[in-house]
Amino acid sequence: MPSRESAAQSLALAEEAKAAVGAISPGRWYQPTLAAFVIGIFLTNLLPDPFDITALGVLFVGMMTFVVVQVRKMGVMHRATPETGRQIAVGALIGGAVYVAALVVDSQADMPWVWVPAALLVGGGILGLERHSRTKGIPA
Amino acid sequence: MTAPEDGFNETIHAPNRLRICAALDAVEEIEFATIRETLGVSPSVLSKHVTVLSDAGYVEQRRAVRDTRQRVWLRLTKEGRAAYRSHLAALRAIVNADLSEG
Repeated sequence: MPSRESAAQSLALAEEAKAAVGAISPGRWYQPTLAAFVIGIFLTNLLPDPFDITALGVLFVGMMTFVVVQVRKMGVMHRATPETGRQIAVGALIGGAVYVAALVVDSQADMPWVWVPAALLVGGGILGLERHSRTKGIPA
Repeated sequence: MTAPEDGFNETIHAPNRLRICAALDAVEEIEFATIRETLGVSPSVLSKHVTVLSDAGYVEQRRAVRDTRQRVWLRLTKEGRAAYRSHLAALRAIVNADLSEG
């Protein structure tokens, strides 16, 4: 059995390794690119039929590919803590709600320009979350 | 209260293996090269310790191809996670027991 000092040193080593791995993040351009994809997805609604659905499909597949490639490049799959899961769920819910609201306003009141503020709102939210995560030292 | 020796694990306690387990406990899965860079150890040292942990059933390895090269991804097994956490608890018990005695 180790002494108290040795046990404390071991605990410190473990904490250090845990923090080092926890700090691995996808890189500075990950969140802005993701935000750009989401903004693009919202703005596809301004395109005429059938380009809107084509652009939507291309951007969605592009975004998913980008996320998978970034995770593989990063070389680590972080554990989804309950807090992270909650943040993702709330973010997706707000993004979905804004999308549906813009869709309703566009079709009911014939105000297609509503997609621009909706896109900027959700894209800005993603960037704001990134800034918040970096300030707090949470891996994005 | 559990005795410190209850969860103490000689296999995990070696400094490099403890760091590997700590890193793996913090993530779902990590690539061999990433953990090697993060911990600052040589490939041979990491490989040696990962083999010991794999033989003990604490770590599992998965091979995947990226950029036409085969990469190894590591993760803690359920037993490995439990053993590591028990070991941490044992270390904390040692530190706290000596504190309360002192």
